[in-house]
Amino acid sequence: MHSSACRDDAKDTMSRFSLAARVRAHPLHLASPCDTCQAREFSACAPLTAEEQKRLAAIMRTVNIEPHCPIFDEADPAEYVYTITAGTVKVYKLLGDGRRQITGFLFAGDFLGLTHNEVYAYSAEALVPTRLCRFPRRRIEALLAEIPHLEQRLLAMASHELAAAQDQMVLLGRKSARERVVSLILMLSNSATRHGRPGDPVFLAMSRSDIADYLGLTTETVSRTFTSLKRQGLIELLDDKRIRLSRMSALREIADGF
Amino acid sequence: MVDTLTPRFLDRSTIDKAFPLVRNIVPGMTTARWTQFVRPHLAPRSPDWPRGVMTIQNAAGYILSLFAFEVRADLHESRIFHMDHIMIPNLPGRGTLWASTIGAAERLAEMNGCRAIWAEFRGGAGLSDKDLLTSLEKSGYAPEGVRAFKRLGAKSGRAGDGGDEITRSAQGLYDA
Repeated sequence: MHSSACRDDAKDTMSRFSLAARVRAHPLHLASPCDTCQAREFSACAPLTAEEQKRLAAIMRTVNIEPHCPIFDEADPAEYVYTITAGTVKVYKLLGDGRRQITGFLFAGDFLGLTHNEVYAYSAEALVPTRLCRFPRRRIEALLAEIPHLEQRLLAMASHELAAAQDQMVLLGRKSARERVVSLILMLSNSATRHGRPGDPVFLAMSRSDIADYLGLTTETVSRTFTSLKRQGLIELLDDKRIRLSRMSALREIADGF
Repeated sequence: MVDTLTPRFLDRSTIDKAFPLVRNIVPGMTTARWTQFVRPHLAPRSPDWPRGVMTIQNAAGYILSLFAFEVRADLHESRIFHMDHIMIPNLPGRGTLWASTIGAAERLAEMNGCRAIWAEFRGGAGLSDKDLLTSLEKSGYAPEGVRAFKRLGAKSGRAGDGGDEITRSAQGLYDA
């Protein structure tokens, strides 16, 4: 479900045009957004020289997305790829019976836009205020011929979505509800650490309902599991969105199925 | 990160992990159908005539591409390495992945004493036919022979199920 703000946009025009309205080329008189990008160290841009960076920035546009607004929908023409520079994005597929399966959560530094042929294979939606660098797919592929060492780096970044979906398959395949919830908490903690943010407390950008759709559980089971973990002194719920990991080694053992 | 791409055989414990890649290439694929398809490929067979599924994984162990293979007897080439269900996602920077996938197949073919490789693509690589042919030609491949395809009418209306039956029969003949 999209927020009323997104629906208001959609009333006037199609979502992709709403998105276009929020795209801004960076004013020339200001420093390049790349200079102040906090995700740069973790993104495809990291190994580039200043000159190469400039060429990549020339085909890039910055996009700001409000919480719960779509970035693109499944089966939309896949004209762009994105790097997330701030925020959190959920990617999901609508199943034949109308249910929604969230296949991954992506964070600052991650790449977005995996496709098959000419259309996106899933939908992507911002969970919190999110900023993205948007690149035209055709132009970035043309740039690879000119900057060969970018190719391997770009492949590394572009495979984030596959990696997130594979993590989820492991979670769904062999774990109990309790193990799934703890695994997700630790996964979010590890991801934050990898991206230079504190891994404890863990910030939950997603709702309990999103967590349920990701883990293949009901919202009630997710809430009950959080309460149970809290009662056992394994975690502390600081507020609705932040969790302190009180007994890390015990949590690791639960995630590993001991 | 993809600093190191490593070929590894798919096994029963990694079938699930390969599913997101397969679903990306074959929209609408279900885990049940993928598992049903791939399990027979992983069953032990004569060491002289191996078959299986090879994956290309990054340093963190994530599967980025895969293909099914089988060493077959061939009247012209004696032993031929047959690869199909080649799944390489349409990612920016896929050239590196393409090279690793084809390279893994060629090494495997040489290790098994094959004199040629038969690579079969059926829209699975996420590339147009023209791009596919260009990439193959760069790797030293050339069109050879004719492979024709005709979809048969499904009597029960369950086209997917009918297709699986035919596949199973064909594998049975090879196993015999």
